[in-house]
Amino acid sequence: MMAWLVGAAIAVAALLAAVVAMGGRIESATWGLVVAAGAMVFALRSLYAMTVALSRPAVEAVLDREGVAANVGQRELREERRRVLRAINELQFDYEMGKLSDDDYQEVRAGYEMRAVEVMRELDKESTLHPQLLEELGRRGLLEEGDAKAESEDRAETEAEAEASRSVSEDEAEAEESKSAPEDETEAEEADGEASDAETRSDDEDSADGDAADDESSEAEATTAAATCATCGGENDADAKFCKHCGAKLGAEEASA
Amino acid sequence: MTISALGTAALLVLFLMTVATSVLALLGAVRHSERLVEGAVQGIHGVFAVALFASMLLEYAFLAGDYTIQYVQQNGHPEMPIFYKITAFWGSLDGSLLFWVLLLSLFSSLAIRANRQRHRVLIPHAVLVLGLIIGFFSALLLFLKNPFSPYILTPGATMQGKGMNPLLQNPYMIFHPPSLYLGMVSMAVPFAFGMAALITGQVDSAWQRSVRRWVLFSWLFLGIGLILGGLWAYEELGWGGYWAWDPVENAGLLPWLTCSAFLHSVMVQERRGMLKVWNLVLVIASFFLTIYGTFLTRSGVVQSVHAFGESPELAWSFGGLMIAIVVVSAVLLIWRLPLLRSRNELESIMSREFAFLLNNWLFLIAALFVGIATIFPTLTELEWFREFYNAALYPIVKLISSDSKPLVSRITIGPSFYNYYMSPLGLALIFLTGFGPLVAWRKTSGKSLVSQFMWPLIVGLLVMVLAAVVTPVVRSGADVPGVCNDCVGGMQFMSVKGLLCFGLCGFTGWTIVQEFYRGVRVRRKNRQQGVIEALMGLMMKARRRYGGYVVHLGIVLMFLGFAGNSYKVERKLVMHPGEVVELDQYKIRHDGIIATQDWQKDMLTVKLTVLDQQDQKLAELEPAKWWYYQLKDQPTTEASRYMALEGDVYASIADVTLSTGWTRVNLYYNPLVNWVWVGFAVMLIGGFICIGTRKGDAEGAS
Repeated sequence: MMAWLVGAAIAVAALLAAVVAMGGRIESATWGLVVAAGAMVFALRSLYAMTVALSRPAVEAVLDREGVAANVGQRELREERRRVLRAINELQFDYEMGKLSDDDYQEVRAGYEMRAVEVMRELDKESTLHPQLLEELGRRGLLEEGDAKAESEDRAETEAEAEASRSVSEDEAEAEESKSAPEDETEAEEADGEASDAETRSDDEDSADGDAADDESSEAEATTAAATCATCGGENDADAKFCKHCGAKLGAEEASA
Repeated sequence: MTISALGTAALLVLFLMTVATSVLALLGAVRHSERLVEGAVQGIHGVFAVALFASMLLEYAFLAGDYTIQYVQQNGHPEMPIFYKITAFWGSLDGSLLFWVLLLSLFSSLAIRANRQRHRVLIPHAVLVLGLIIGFFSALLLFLKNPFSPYILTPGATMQGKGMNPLLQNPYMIFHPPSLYLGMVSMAVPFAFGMAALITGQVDSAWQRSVRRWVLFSWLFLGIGLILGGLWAYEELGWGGYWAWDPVENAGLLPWLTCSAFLHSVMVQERRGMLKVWNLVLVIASFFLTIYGTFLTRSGVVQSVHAFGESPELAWSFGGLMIAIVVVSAVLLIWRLPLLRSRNELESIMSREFAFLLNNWLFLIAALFVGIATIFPTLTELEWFREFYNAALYPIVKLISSDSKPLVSRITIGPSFYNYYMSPLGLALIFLTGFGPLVAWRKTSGKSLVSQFMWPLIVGLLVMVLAAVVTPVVRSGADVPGVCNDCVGGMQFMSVKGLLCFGLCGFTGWTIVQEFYRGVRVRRKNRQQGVIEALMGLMMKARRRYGGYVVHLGIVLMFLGFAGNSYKVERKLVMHPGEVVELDQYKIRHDGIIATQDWQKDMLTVKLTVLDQQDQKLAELEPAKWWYYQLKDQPTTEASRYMALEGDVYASIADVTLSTGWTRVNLYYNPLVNWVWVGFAVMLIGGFICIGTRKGDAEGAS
């Protein structure tokens, strides 16, 4: 875009210089004509861009989308987490400003915290392929145009394929995690803003830790038995601190079991 | 190839592009073909580029004075300043439609670019909706109102341009229509994303994140447009007021009201997952109202100072579009109703969501009231409507107000009717402006209620008492009969609504102060900070919240101005040179008349001097009458005013007898009127604080 603008500016300057050199006058209409001509070039260029987009091979477009889709789920969840944390933060602010009684505050806060835990659980669970990996798969012809959609739904299959090209994927996955972990932390910092909000912060660190733990034990996790909640009897991940069904805190005995 | 032919060709290409884009988007969405969707996305950018080209061609035609084009011939003039030559582009109907298309395609292109990666699924549908809307307007341009249509020379006709309507050659008028357009046109983006959310069934709050800024943008520019229109009316029309409920001004107010409602209710959905259907309805209604507003302005169905003139084809086209919008969105909404169930329920009346709900109802009632009252006089022209009204509605109306009469002919609805019903609504809204921030989400307990409401209530009462004491004293200085719409018994200058308005301004104003004060206190308790630093930190941390409070502060200041309107003094009299008359606490002296002229008009200026009670000169006023050569029989009124914090002395002239110097003048004293403009400026600042991008939100910026 930048290069295009610079090019246009140079062209305009050259044209105007030519007009002056030939003894023409530069008045408002000249400028109007220059702008209109520029707009015409712009219009032709975007028509060209449309044609290019339409004549692109379908595979490229699909790969493009898959790469984006992999990020979107994560980002939505992260946004949701940030929103809930911000809500908790705002609630505490309201409480400190004297708008809520102690009881109300505790009750409302508990509700939000439950939602936050829910989101963080989901965020931990979400395991997606790195877009670059996908591209690599596409390059090797492992990703067919037709079954791209089915593939994204059927994770297990993709993972099996990923194992086939393990040497590449492992390195890349690790690289991604090391990239995303600090990013999470900065986001969390921003979300809670108030340094005083110790609890939210610790929640967040938990989740960051959880991320790391998941990566190391992701293989093991799939096979080991899940922890059961004492309150509702629902099944949870082995390292879960809160039940994902009822939100109750999972006791030390479950965690150790 | 003439510019006229080239421009028409560009419009044809534009129309074909919109059709192609819509078809590509539809096919892409149906077949899940990424290639076609990408083509459609590029297509919408291309539509903008072509619209830009067509617009620039028209600009060139104005600058170069190509009077073979009818539109340029009618609106251009070789001697117009360049600035007006450029703005003549949107000065009249055809060009303003092209300007509309240009803005619409620009916004569509920007919105699609910003959200392309985030809401991949919504994009093809949003492109489809936007493509269809642009297609509609470009079809109007191509088939009905082509701004490039050639000017056929008839014998005796001049080749020279006529020049832009002189009333529009005013700095406010240059920016008033475009900012209204900006506000109205940008509503199409939230509508498109709302529709896309309905079609795809992704009706969670994701789509709203893409559109909240757009709605805010639209709200801001509608506000700027309205206030500039008010300033223009105040300075140009010479009747001493700024808002007369003119149909066209109402057309801008309607979507502004629904936008305000949406900006509040969207918070409820974000926070509590409630009001999903409601929010969609508000977005649809806002967009519908922008089209309704355009319909009112362009079709000539309403009588107004600045309707564009009669055009039945346009009326039918817009009517069709409005019906299509209502039907399509209603069908989609009903289809998706099961997905739109609320996650939570209202827990307590003393909660912020309830305050928001109330405020939404009030905004919507206000919009409905104004919308119906605007079209009502037009409806009463229709025979069948009068019969229907007399048969079905009249008995009900008669129950409410006993002095109503059955319809026999066209009726007019004047400003006093609107003011009578709108002022209680306004007062209720300003009360909620104070009430909302004081209560917490979900519920507020009794104890915190007391601590929250005590001071604002006390301050509100104090202000009311103070106003009750002060206003009669201020008035009694002059023994001039003033205009007082709702006076109580013996106290001639006590206005119930005025006092209530002052009280509520005090209440709400103090609420805002208290919010800032307590916020700063909490922040300073948690960290070592100075007051200013804490205040800045507060603003940066919760932009939306404190930006919103700044907007509220602006509203309070504006309401001060509205309250002052209850104490307006108006004198219409004939003055001769040398005469001194009293106006409230001022004296006005007539100092003579001056006649001048310039390249486009004759001017008669009356010199008036404003004196205080000690005969000290305060200011000189120069109200004038201008006769443009172009419109000899329509002199324009140039009002003049002496601005002060406590009010304006405002003068305009109705008639001048040149031989004797006797002048019929209208003198007004408008207390607190300038607070309306000040308040609006504050509101604008608040709006920009809200719209400003947070670092974390940058990726979601749209």
